[in-house]
Amino acid sequence: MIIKNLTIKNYRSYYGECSFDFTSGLTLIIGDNGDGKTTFFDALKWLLDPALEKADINNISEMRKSELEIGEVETVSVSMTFDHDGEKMIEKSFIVERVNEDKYITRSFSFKGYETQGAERFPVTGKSLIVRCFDSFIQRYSMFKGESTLNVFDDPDALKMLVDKLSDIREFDEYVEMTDEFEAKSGTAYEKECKNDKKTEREAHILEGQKTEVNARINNTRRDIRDTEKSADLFASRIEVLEKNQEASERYQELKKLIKAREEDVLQWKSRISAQNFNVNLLDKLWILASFSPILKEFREKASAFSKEKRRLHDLFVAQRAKEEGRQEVLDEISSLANGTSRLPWYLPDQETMQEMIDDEICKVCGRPAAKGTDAYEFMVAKLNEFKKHLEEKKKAQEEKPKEEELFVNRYIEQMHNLSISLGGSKAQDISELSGTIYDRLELLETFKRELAKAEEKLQDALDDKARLLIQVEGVTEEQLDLDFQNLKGFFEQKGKAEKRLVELREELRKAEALKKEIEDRYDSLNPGSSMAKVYQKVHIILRNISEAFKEAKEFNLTRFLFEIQTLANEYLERLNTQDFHGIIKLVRTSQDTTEIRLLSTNGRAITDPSGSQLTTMYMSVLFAISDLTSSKRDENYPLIFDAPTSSFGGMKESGFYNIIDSIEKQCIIVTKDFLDDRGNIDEAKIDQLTCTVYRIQKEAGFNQDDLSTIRTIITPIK
Amino acid sequence: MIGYKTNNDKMLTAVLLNQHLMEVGGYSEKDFTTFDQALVSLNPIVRTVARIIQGHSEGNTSKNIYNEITDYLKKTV
Repeated sequence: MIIKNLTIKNYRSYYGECSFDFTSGLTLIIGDNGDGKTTFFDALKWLLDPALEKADINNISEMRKSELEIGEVETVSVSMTFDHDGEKMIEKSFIVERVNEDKYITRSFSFKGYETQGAERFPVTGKSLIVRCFDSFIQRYSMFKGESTLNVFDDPDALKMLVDKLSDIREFDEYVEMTDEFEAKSGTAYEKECKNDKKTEREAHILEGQKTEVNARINNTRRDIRDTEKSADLFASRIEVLEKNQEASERYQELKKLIKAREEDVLQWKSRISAQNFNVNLLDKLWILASFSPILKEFREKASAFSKEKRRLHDLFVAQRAKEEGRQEVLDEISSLANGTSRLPWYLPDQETMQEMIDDEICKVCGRPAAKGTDAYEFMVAKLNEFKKHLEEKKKAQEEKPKEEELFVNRYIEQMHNLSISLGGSKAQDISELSGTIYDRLELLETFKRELAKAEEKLQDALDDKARLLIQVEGVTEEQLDLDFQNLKGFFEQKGKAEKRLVELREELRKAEALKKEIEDRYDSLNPGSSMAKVYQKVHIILRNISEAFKEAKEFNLTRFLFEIQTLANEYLERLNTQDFHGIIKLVRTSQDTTEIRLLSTNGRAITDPSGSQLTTMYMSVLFAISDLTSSKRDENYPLIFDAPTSSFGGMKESGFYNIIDSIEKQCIIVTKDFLDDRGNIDEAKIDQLTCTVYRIQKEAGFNQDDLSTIRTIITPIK
Repeated sequence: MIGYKTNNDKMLTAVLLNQHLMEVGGYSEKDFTTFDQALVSLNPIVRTVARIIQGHSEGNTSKNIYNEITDYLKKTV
C-alpha cells in the first residue's frame, strides 16, 4: 500500500480543502508547535480507524464554523487515495449545519470507498477497504505518535501477533496445545489399559501414583517459578527504573541548581537594567537638555541682550521723566506775580517757618507785624494752606505717577536673565558634558542587555538540558526524580533472593520433569500382555513424539523469526547511526513469552541507559525490520507514518537521520518541527541535502492568539 | 521440500524434519515431498502429522481429529 494523496477539508485547523501528495519514499511535513502537525496525524487516524463511524463536532474547523450563516451547511472530510492492487480511495465525511447563533448540528456521516478495476471504478464501503488493505495489525506497526509509542514490544501481545502474522509458520500455538492434549489423552487411555492388564497392573498403579505426585510437584513448581519470576522482574524493573532515575536524578539535581543560579543571574541583570530609570534622569538630571547646549548659549546671549536693552531703555526713561519733572517745577517756580515779579517757590518759607510767623503774628520775612485778622495775617494763613495743598498734590502725584508711567510692567526679562544666570557657569558646563554621560550610561545599559541575553541563553540551555533529561527518563515526573533512592539497596537484596530462589526452583522443575519423563518412559516400556494395551502403548508413544516435535518446531520457528527481525533491525540501526555509536539490538524473550528490545555493546554488555536518540533509532530500526518482513512475508508494502519521532535528537543527529531515511526505499511520512530555527524559519541548507518531498505547514499570519476561529493551517510545498 | 508454500506445507515440514521424530518414525524427507503425498503416506507418523494439520486447518474439532488419528493409528501400528 502506497498513499498517494491525502485531502483534509474543514477538519480542525485545516480550513477549506488542503491536499498533500506523497511519493513512495520519504515525505516531510514540517511545522512548528500549533501549526497543525498533530492535526494532520489525527485526521489520518480518524480516517483509518473503521471503528470511528460518527461525526465529531470537535473536528470541525472553527474558522469555517464561524463563517457559516444560520441554516448554511458545510462538509467536513478526510480522503485518501492509495495504491494497493490498483488505485483505491476512501473518504470519511459528514455535514455540519449552523442552526442558530451558538448551535451547530452534524449529520450524514459517510465512510465510502472506491476501487479501480481495469478502467472502471467501483464503490465499496470504506470500512471493508481499510480492513482489506490497511488492517488494524498493519496500522499498529505503521503509525506512531511521538517517540514514546515507538517500542512496539511494550505491548505484551506484540510477539504473538507478529509471529502469527509474519513468521514463516503461523498458528503454532494452537497446534502445540492440540497435540499436547492428544498426548495426554492417549497416555490416559494407555495407562487405563495397563492398569487393566494383569501383567502390568501392579507397576502401572505404582507409576500412576508416582506420575500424579510428580505432576502435582511440576505444577506447583511451575506456579512458584511464575510467581518468583514476576517478583524478580518486578524488583528488576524497579531497580532499573531507580538506577536509571538515580543517575537522572543526580543530573536533575545538578540542573535544578544550575537553573536556579542562572535564573538569579537573569533577575540580577534585569534588575540592573530596570534601575536605569531614564525617565527620572530626563528631567531631574536635565538629560532633556543634552542636545540643547547651542540653544542654551543662544538663549543666554539673547537674555543678556534683552536685559541690557531693558536697562538702557529704563535709564533713558528715568532720565526723560526726571527731566520733565524738573522742568515743570522750574516753570512753576518761575511763574510771575501780579506786579510782574517772580513768585517765591511754594516751598518758601517752609511749613515750620510759616506756622511760627502765624503763631507770632509777625512776618519774619519783612519784619512787620501781622496781627490776627489783618490782611498780612490772612496772607500767611493762605500761604500755609497753599503749602499743605501742594504737598498733598505732590504726594498724590507721586503715588499715581509710577502706575501711569512704569515702562516695564512685568519682570519677564529679569526672570529670563535670572534663568540665564542660573543655567550658566557650572550648570552650563554640566549640560555640555551630559552627552558623554548619557552615552556612557547607554553603553552601560547595552552591556547589561548583552549580559542579560547571555544569561538568558545559558538559562535556556539548562532548561533544554532538563527537558531532554525528562524525555530520556520517559514519563518520570520531576517530583519522582526528587524522590530519595534509599530503597535501591532493599530492592537489590530482594531481587537477589528471588533470583536465588528461581535457580533452585528451576533445578527442582528440571528434576521433576526428568522424573516425569522417566516415569513416562517406564510406562512406555511396560510390556503389557493384552494386544489392545500394546496398541494403545504404540499410539501413545507416537503421539508423544509428535507432540514433542510440534513444541520444538514452534520454538525453532520463533527463534528464527526473532533472529530475522534482529538481523534486519541491526542493519537499519547501523545505517541510521552511520557516524555514531549504535550498539547491537538484541531481541530477548522473557519468561512470560513476551519480547524485550535491548541495546548491547559488542562485548555483550547491556547499555543500561541509552540516550533518547539511541532508543529512537533502535525502535525505528525494529519497525523498519518488521516492515521489511511484512513486505516479504505478506507480499505487501505499507507506509510508516511518524508524528514527531525525533524530539530527543540534536541538530546534527537529526540531519543525518533524515538523510538516511531519505535513502531508504520505503514510504515514510514524517511530521516534525525539525529543520526549523528558533524563529520558525526553515533551514534551507539542510533541506537542500534531501531528495524527498517537503511540505511546510504553518498558521496563516494575522491570527488572534485568543481566538481559535482565526487559526488556519496553510500548506506550502517546499520541494 | 521444494514447492511447499502454504502454512500447512511449512508446518508439516517444520514438524516432520524433527530429528528425533525421523529416527523413531523411520521415515525420510522423501516421504513428504508434498502435503498430499504425506496425507496418504504409509508411514503412520507422516500421515498422522499431515492429518492433524489438515484437520485443524479445515476447522475440525480437536476431538474429531483425535478420534480420526487414533482410529487410524490403532489399525496401523
